[in-house]
Amino acid sequence: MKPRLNDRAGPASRQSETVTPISFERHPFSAEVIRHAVWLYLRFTLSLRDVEELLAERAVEVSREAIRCWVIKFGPLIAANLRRRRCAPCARWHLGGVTLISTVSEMGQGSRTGQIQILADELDVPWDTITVEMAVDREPYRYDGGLYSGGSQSVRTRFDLLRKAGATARAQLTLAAAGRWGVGLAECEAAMGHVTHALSGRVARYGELAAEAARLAPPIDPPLKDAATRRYVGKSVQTLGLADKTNGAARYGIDVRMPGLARATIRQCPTYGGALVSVDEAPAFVVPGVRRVVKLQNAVAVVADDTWSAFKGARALEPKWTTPPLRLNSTGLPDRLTAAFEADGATVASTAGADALAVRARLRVAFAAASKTVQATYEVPYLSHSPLEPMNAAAWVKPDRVEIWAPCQDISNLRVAVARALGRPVDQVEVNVTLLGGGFGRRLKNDYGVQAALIAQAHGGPVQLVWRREEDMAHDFYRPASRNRFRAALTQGDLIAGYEVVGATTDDTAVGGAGPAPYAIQDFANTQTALATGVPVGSWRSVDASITTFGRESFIDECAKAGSRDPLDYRRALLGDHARARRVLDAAAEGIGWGQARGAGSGVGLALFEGWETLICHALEVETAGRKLRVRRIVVAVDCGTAVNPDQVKAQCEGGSLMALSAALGEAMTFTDGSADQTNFDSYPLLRMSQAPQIDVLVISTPGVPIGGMGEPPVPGLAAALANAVFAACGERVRRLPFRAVGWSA
Amino acid sequence: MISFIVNGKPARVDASSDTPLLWVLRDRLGLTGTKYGCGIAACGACTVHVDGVPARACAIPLSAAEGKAITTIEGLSADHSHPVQRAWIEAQVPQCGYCQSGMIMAAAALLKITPAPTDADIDATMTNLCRCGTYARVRRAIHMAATMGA
Repeated sequence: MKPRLNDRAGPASRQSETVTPISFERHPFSAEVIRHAVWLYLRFTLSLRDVEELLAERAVEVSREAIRCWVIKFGPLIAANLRRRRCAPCARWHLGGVTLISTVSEMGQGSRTGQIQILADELDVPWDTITVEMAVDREPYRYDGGLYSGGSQSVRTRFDLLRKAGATARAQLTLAAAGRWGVGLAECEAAMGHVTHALSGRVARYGELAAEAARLAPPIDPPLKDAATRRYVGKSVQTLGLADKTNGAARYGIDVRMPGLARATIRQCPTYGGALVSVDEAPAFVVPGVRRVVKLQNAVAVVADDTWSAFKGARALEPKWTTPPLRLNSTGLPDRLTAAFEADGATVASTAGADALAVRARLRVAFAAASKTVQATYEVPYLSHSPLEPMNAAAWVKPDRVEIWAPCQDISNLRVAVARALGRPVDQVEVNVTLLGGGFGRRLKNDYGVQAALIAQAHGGPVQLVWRREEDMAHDFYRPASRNRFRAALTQGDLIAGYEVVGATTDDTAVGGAGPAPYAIQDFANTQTALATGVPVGSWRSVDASITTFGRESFIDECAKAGSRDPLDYRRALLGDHARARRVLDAAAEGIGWGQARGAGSGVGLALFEGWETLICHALEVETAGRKLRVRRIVVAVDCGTAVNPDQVKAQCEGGSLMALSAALGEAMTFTDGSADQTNFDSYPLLRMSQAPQIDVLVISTPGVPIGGMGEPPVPGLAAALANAVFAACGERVRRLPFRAVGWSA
Repeated sequence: MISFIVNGKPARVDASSDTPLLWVLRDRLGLTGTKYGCGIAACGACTVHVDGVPARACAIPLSAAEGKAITTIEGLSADHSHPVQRAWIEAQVPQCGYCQSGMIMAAAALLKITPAPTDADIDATMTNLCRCGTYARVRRAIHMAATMGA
């Protein structure tokens, strides 16, 4: 039976079947926090201010007014349940739970679960006695100077830290017990939340010892547990909070509610860089329930009693906007990108590195001596993030404090941006992070949070801003469009001796992802140019690699073809003695049945990728019939060192692969006169169930190496594996995404 | 004033008759489990059951709800024990989870009509969007729920 976490239980899971379940629905704070606050107030002679301070010490920011309301509302209910389950007079009640204060936003990547597993192993507690609270944005809770979730690092960068924290606390608790009992430290053992002195039979719970332990000096280098004794790391324990996502209980940013909450929506200037000139507010007020119209620098918002009235009010307006000079037309973009990287002196960024001159000299020699050269140009479009939960945030601007509730990935940045927009000190701004209905890099941005704050400032009470899908899709920070020309010098065996990439990307320089890792190709140069278009761009799951790996892994196949070599053998030859890369490559190839005879129109393709310290290989099987394409199967072989939660690793591989497949098959944002052409899913098609193939994930372990990230690595290689498979199936080489744009239907 | 039943309880709502049922549920009745994803019935995040039949609540004006029995994700089972919900947990389906209310309501409706759906049945009827890419697990969980006697 897999361990389960009922994350609506009280601490130490002492739920009894006979008590009356209490509903904490529609409260932004968790049941655990509310119960604890009410218990503190009722159990001890504390004032509301005392309770407020005690909670703040545990990184929970809640006003004493809220606590007063909780006491009134929940006190009698909790007291009734306490009476029902009070045990014999000699029993003592300890809080006993462990709280992990995490800087990670929860957007479906399961990082909090992984962090709990790591901590539970070293601290030696049952994993379901650990609850997670979101850190507040101040020291010592920040990680690396802020609160930020992205870059595939929430588990891998905390692995060593959490182990040390758990081991340190365990050592202190053991020492505290030994001190209390006056026995030798070596005679005491800490396990599963208790310290035991076997010789005398004495036992103490961690909760009883915590206060004393905290007063002891922490050991500098506490011993860490051997991997063989791990109870949780390496096991697929069930994901925290998953049950709530199956019954409507999970609360996202868009579900934040509080008394007096007004609702708002926004119309932003449809042309990027434009500003609001004027708007006649009257049409909005025709809609019942509309309370106010708020003008912002480049947008107009409508505040109403409910969301639909706000939507209607906003749609009724006819704002006048300025026309900015820089307005993109997508029809001319490919030529402009080519012209940008072919122009003299086009370099903005180059990854040839410190010995750039030497590398380029060697490349010149390699091209001069090459038996063959291969050249191909690859093109990728702008992409929208399109998380299913549209952009939203709630805000309340009070005289001495600004509160934001937002599903966001970069809390520190949001606080600074809101403070600046309102002219307040950053200390006055608090951000409550809600569950995110998808992040993918979009919710790193501050725009929706700052807008909510400005609207709330104008309105005076709490306001929740919800973007319509049309605003979300037309006002993204898109994955940039890019064109990259790859050119390789082939040497003996038609292997790549060296290659160079010259490319241009819209409003960005895609310097990552085109390089040779994990292949042992010594000489590589990447020269990148940014083309200014005025369309806002940002990080889209796997960032640069999402742009350039399509070219890189397609190009490897094209070089293999130039030498009439099998793409699998070719990659093996290029890898040298990179054992980990070789293992994932071979596993994926074997998994897809590489080398089996296939009928006409059926083909398999590979793509290998190394990034965020993870090795991953995609193998795809496709069928083509005329211009119809069907992906039959995806095999992913992944090595992230130690899979803290193998099922989570598999889930990221499945999800990342399907997101990449969605983009490769049919996604493209285009622009006319500086405005988005696509504004909803009818014109920007996301992958559907009927297009999603079977996915098999093979998780390969390499103990003793740094843990690799898993949020992004499954994305970059998929598109090239698809292109390579289609080539194998029918001989057509697709060098431009999405497939739909070059006549394929899937 | 429009009257209908939601999760077995009577509801009376005074709002403009063109208000989509989605927003009535979310903003007037406090049922936030049904989600807004697109507003044009393209994503299915707002899927509810109307007299037992799956429907996208963003496309149902309040006036059309008069006299109907609506079931939302909150009312799918009294104690979160519907076979689809149990299968979703067993198969660890949700990632961000935002689309899953609609996905589950669509799956529950499918299983009521077709207790042992084939992959082709699933392809044809499960048109809800999931950006996190949980489709493979959704499919597996539907097959699992079918064996649990949905």
